[in-house]
Amino acid sequence: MMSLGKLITLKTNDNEEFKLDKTVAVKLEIIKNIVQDVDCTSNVIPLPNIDGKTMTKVVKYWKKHSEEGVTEVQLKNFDQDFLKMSHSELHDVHLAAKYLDDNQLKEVIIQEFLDRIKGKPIEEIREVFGIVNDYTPEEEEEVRRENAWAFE
Amino acid sequence: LSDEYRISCRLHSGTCCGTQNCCIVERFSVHFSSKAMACCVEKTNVNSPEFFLLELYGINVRLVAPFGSASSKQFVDPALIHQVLPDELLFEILSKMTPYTLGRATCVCRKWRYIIRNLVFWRNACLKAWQVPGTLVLVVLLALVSTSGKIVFVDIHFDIAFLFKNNDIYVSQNTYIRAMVADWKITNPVHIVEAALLYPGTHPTLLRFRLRYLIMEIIFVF
Repeated sequence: MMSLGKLITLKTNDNEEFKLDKTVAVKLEIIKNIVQDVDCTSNVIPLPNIDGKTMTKVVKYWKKHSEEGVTEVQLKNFDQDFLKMSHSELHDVHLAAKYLDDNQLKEVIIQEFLDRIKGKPIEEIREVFGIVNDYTPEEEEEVRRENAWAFE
Repeated sequence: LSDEYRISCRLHSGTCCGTQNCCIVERFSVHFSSKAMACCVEKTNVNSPEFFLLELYGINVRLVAPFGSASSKQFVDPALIHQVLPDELLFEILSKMTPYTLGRATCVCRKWRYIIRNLVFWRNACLKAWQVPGTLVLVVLLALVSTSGKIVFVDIHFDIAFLFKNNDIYVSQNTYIRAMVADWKITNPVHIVEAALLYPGTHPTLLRFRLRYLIMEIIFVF
């Protein structure tokens, strides 16, 4: 068992360290599992799949959402600001949230993606997800005709 | 359709009363030839809206044109999301989409079209979008049986993507008929080009399909 220090250190793949209050960290399935299962001699948990830049964002989100006395409105505003990032950063955070098994954060990210493409033309959806159109012109015409109802 | 065929249709329509777990399922059996048609309706109360959708599971949907390259050359997807996000996360995003967004997303690229063919996405989207009082979700399975007793199979797999527009309901295009007999002209899956349920609010309701490879319309009146 890990020694019962108050702080847990998360170490990203580029050796950035994040100190987290244990009560915050163990809310996450994966951290909890590591804490319980791994016989750690130190309080440092390596996160080989996440870089420091992404982890900074995630930790910022966790801290805000575990603060006491924060109103709903404040959280909503925080989330709005938090989500102001590029598409690729959003993908990174999505991946990190998946790795850390943080469903709440994942939901927020997915919703943001959906908001970004809602009612947008196909070209913009491609842009958001960085997708290159691989349809031939004929195929594209066909698939658009078939799905014309979605554009009404 | 010639007289020698009888089409037996099981149409499951669910009218959800609005609560999550109460649903009236009506089972229609329709038998008709080109001249006569009989229809019987049986109403069943079930506790779960899943009831009439379960039969969709395990049905193999027809593959659309595969994405990527058909050659042996390794295919590298240039799209960032496909490189960065595992498919699992893409599925999560797609599964949260509304039916309209799904329809648009189908147009994005081959991979997405391929993935969105899966009924699960439509099922989730439609249930979320239209599980309100008065909403009709339809799943049609059709079997064609010749009067001589020879069984001719035609499965109509309806994705449950019906859209309300004014009083009409349209079904999504993700719908295929598969026939597995020689004397029935379809040897390949047939794509339903258009299916519309005209829903004036009172009976009779008309469901029409127009098939791409068959110059015919099947019309159900019930």
